[in-house]
Amino acid sequence: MAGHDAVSPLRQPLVTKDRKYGEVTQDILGQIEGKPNKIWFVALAISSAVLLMGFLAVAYQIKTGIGTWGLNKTIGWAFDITNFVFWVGIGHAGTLISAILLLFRQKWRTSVNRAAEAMTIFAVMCAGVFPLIHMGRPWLAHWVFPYPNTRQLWVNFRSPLLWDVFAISTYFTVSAVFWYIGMIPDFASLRDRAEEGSIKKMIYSALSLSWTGSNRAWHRYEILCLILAGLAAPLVVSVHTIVSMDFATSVIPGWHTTIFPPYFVAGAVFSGFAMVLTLLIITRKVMNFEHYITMGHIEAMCKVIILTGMMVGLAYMTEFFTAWYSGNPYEKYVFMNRATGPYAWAYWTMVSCNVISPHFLWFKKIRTNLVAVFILSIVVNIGMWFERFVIIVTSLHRDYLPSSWAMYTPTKIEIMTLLGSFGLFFTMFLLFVRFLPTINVAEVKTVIKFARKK
Amino acid sequence: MKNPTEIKKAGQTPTYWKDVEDKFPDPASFKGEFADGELDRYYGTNNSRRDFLKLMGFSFATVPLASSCIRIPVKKALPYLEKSDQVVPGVANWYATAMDPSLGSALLVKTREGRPIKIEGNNSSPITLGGTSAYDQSSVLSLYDSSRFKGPMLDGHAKDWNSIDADLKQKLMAAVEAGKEIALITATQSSPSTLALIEEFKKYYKTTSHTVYEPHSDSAVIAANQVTFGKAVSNRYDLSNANLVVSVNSDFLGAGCGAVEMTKQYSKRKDPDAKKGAFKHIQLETLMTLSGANADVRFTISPAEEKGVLLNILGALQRETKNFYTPTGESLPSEGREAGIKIAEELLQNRGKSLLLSGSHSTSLQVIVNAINNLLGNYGKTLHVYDNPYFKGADDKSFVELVERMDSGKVGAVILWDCNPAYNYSESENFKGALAKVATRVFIGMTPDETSELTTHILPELHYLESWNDYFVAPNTVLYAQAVVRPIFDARQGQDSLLSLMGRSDFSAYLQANMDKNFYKLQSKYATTSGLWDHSIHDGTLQVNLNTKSLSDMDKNQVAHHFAMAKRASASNGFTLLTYQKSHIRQGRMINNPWLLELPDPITKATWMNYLMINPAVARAMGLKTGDVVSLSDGKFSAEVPVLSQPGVHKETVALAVGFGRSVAGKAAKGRGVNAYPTMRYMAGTFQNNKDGFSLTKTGKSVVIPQTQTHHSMEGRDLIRETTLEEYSSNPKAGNEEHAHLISMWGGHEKTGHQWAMAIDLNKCTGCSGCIVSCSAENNVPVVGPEEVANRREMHWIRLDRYYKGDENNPEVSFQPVMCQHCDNAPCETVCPVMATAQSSDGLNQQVYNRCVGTRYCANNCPYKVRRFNWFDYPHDDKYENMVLNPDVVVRSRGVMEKCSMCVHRIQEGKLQAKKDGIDLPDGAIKLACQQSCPADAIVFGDMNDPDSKVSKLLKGPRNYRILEELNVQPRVNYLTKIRNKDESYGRS
Amino acid sequence: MDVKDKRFLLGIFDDDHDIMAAVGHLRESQVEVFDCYTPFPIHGMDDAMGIKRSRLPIVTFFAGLAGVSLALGVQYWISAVDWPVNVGGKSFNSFPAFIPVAFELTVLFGALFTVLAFILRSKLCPITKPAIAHKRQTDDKFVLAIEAKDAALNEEMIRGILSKHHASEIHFSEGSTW
Repeated sequence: MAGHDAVSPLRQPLVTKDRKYGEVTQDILGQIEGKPNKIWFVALAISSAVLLMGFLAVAYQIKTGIGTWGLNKTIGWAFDITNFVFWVGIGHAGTLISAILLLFRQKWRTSVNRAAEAMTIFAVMCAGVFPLIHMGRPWLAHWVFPYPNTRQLWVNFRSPLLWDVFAISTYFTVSAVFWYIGMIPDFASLRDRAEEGSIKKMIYSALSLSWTGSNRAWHRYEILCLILAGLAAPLVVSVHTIVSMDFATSVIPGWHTTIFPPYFVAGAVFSGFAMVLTLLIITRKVMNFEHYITMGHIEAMCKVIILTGMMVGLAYMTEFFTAWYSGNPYEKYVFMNRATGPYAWAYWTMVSCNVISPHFLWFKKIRTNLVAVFILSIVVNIGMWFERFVIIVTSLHRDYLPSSWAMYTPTKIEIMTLLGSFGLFFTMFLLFVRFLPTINVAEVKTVIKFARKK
Repeated sequence: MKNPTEIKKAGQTPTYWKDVEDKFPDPASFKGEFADGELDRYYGTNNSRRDFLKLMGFSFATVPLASSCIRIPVKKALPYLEKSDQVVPGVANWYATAMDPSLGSALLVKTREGRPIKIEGNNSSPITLGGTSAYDQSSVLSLYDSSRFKGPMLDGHAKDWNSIDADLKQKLMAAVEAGKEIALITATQSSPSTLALIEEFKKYYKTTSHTVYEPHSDSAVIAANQVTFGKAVSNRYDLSNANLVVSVNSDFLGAGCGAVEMTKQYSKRKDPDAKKGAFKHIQLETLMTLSGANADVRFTISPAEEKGVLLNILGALQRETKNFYTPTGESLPSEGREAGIKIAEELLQNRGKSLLLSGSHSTSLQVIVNAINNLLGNYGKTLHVYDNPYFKGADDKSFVELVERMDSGKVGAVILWDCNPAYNYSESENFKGALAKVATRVFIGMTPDETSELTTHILPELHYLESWNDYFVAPNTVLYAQAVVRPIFDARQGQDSLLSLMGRSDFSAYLQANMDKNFYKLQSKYATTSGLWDHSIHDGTLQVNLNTKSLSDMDKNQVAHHFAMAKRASASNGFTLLTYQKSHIRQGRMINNPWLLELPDPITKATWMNYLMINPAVARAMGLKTGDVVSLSDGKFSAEVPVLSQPGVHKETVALAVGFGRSVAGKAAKGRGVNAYPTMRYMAGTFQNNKDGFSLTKTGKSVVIPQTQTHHSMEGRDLIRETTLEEYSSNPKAGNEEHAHLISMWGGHEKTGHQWAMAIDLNKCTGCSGCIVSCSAENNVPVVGPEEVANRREMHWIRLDRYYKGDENNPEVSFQPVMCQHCDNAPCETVCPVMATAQSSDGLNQQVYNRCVGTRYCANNCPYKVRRFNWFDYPHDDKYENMVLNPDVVVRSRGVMEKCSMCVHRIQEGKLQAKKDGIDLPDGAIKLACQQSCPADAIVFGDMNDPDSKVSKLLKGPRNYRILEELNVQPRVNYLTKIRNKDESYGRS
Repeated sequence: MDVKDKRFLLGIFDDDHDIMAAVGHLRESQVEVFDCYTPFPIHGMDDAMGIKRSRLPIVTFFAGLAGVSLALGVQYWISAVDWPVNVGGKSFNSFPAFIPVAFELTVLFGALFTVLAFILRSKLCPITKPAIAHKRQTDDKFVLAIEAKDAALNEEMIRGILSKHHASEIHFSEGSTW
């Protein structure tokens, strides 16, 4: 694609420093060939400690029972499914960047897509944990798969939870495959850089599947990437659509809404891009990738956040309008209760984080101020977590029969489990930046000449 | 296993060997039971193997007969060598028995493999007509109370019966010779045999006195009847002939004794289509009671107004009827005058068809009430005072005098039988002091309590299901109680204890002899005495024509005096504290019963504790909210207790339930709540239940009162549809006009064969909550404890939603039983990923426990929130309590969803029975647990495909509706509109 | 295609433009280019080398077709034939509810089989030793390989073309040594 290196005053170089091919390889792959620095070790220590804490919390909960959570007869889901939806959402940005931006031939994606995809996979892992541990009898989790068994029992294909099982596992598999395929050429480079007979060499040559860079293979390779992107793009939309159907297909006021699929997908991209920013702002600093992950990238993602943020805001408003317009007393009550009831604090946290905070990014000053962007990206993620909490808890805690209305407060165990999922996420990501090429070297090489005179 | 001692271990049932001895006290009676010489071997030690087997055969045959209660570990289980003709494994045996009518009713007991597991109403009782209360239902669990005495004790040491009897006989005789009084203190006695026995005891031990002690009772009514009729008996009411019931602080549907009987009559009378014409219930009360919640017209009155209203009614009636009991021109109190006069008018319009009830503990007021009913000519029609020879009711005065005598050392021995004054006598300290001065202190009771602590001789009492007894319930009905299970612990029925103190034994024989003596002549149904015995025990009831006439000519001369007494205005200051009985805890005799403790109070929906009920406005003014702990004090008494802001409580009054705050009791009851008895006071011959001069001060502390419902408004949703009798008579569809127009994208499934449905009459349901216990007992619903209830995790499969409407000082209350609605288009089913819940061909929403993985999605998606999740492994580790489990219903494990199954096992049983009998299942043959126990007959269950079934008729009726119809989930549980006989002319004071 | 028993004339380039130009020039002069080994895909190279368009999309299509039919078939058979249960009053064959799973399986099958086809077709395998003509062909060198038998026809002209396009080195090499 290097043919497209049109020189124009309107275009900014995607790689802000004039680098030769060899230098690119060295810049990126050199990072993971040398010894890791202190910061990395400290970060890993912290995140794995948090992961361990979460693990212990879950172990205790599985040993003792779901009663160790704050749920009750009225509120059967709270932190568990909130975290699930939150993490699935996070995942979406990765696929969006790698697949949809590829289809749209957005060159700037090349230096961020690898990390974004990695994030997707780790986020989906975190998400997957929750449907598993939220079961009353997790040791029977395999029952949700339709496999022939002696009892001649099958699963219920009408249940959105079952759709989730298929959606999430498909999403994970396809993302993982796409990610790996993308890494094959870089594994080959690593292989050829490693000295003969070293274990590194063996591992990388196995991972590289004896890739040689033959242009006949490159040809198929590019077609394959397009196909996978073409499949992943509708997949990512379907996944969050199906997740939203957990709620949309129910009868509970506040859940039973047709707006959910688009609303959830927008929210997912919104939170996903925020998380990508959070991660990359750190990564580019720690790994000195400033020239590859440039302000241009950060600004581009900020713009996506503004857009999706406004979509989410629109969804909130539409919900209220529909509730009022439908004239359904239960629907009306639920939404009034969200804004004014006992969980109003959660609702307004959500609104200020998701609807108001993104608009700061209209200002270039803020958009280009890494600290500001970093903080805003975290604010957005907090907001999106609360969005799911609000949807799940405020709808359940006051539904049809006032006699059953109740309140929910999380227990220590639940909070530790939530933190634990972050521990898992960051531990995985730290291992990733150490042992796998964080930036797609082959693709970046195709764009280093972009908007640059020879 | 060669010698008997090991044999005993084998079954782990040393008791059943003892049973054999009990059953056949002297070897002679073995004749015919054994081959010759076998006995000697049995009693001898050198047994051969074959003897062992024979004996084993015999004993295992007698195990079911004796229905030994100790579970035999599976690894040691042995087959019946000789199958008993009485026990078919897997098939329940039913026995008729009765609980003391002052507490309970005529009952049927379901036993499985010898274990009583369920209490149901005895339809053959003309009194309770098959109804039961939550109290009756729960009593079976107390049978297995592991805190019960395991054996007799002398001065705190375990002793065998013979030696303790010997010691006691000698001590009692010594007391007689010393001319010292032997005080026998019992609860209310309505048992002919027991009373006769006590008379014999008095003769045997000359100096014996018998005192009936009840801490919180209708003794004022009894005293008043003594005054006006010369008979110390209590009233019997008959609502079936009443058109107007005016109740002044009487919770006749709730805590009042005979509530089941009253509820039966009440709900029949409230039927809007009843031939007998309109029925109105006016309730004037100081706190919100179950009766007040059901009233058509309700007033919230202060204790002063209570007095005022009654006096004014009497005054007005005297003026109207020109029939003066009190000096003419006697001034009348201003409080409650208006209401009094208006009510008096209405009463007059219903002469002989009205009834005035009062819950007052003041004899004078009860005399006034008698006078009023007499002026209205209600005696003999809606109200009966029988000349009942078999009744000894509470006599507070005599108890107080007894304590004085004990204190002055005149009493040589005291026998406390089924009473606990050290806990529930207001002057318990005086009592303890006086008791200490009595040399021989005998305790006859089931469980350790504050009083047993202070006694020398403890003679463990049997549970009523282990005992024999008879109860005379005027008019002319005798209830018989039989032992349906062998004693679980080494205990002895109190009557047997008295007998053995007279050197005799076997009360059941005594009972039979007594029956022959007293009642054989009074009946013509049975020719032989044995026939009489067999049938009476079998039926549990016996009709005799003992001409107990209903007295109607009262002694009017006393009224004036009591009128003056009552009028004496007592200047009230501070809060008046009203001590009341919770409708299912009552006086607290059975407080150590997890089912009762976890049962939500019908009004407050609170469990496991008592609390200070306070008017919401007052609470707000004092900056108190439910759960805030205040210190309640009148100088003499003081306690820290959480408040519960309760609509319908009078502003000047706070109320505290009795029965809680036990310092010595089983683990369920110990230390729960505060003891309210010390706030009662003895005055004018009775224990008064209200005292003024109390102050509340905030402590800043706060607790969570475990309530099963915390939101009390229906938020204007038409969950409970209601109308007034007036509108109903013109338009039967009134209040039920709107029905959703429903369309579905699905074709639906065929509905052939039986299609089960239920109709619940909201007009009949009084909210008594008996169904909840019945359901829990039937379906092994776990008890989760106060903390988990506070976490909103109670497991009850059926709940009673209670909503308030209108003025918080005097709200309109409505109840709605809600269990799984068994929707045809069940939202819970669609969302279960593993198909653990699905629709049965006969329309039940089935939960498959062992397929459930516990996603809780179904519970979330249930619009009625009736699904219950096993958050933990709820303990089933009490080897005694586990014996109450129903073997027909599986005990659910942790992480599994559960809910009302519509007693599917009962449905199957009914269908099988019909099949065996080769008939079509008759309508009403299947009764669900909740339905069976309902004293109001509010629940109807049946096949809606059968056009003639009661339920399908109701479903077609104008009052029928379904909750949240518009969701088109097509519930199988239907409701009938509530119809209030409102009278706006009263306003809602 | 197997290189082990072949001998090649290699032109090593430092820039993607040069190798592109060289390939174009060679093919104009009727020289068959065996293959090029480059660190990244060079846009237009496939046309320049005259590589036939890959048939992977066909694999994808049929795999997806298999996925959707399998999903719908299995769901119908399970819910309506093998174990018909009345769930929430819905028909045994609740077709609309089967769509999500059908979609997911379509994507899953499509993706996995396409990847499989790619791996097989490109003879990718974790254990075989990769045929590396130049140590830095996955880093910054661009290798143009011409089979020796083709090169032999007009070696001079070919060498000329390669050097004209700034080939840094031109030499013969045994496939077996790669």
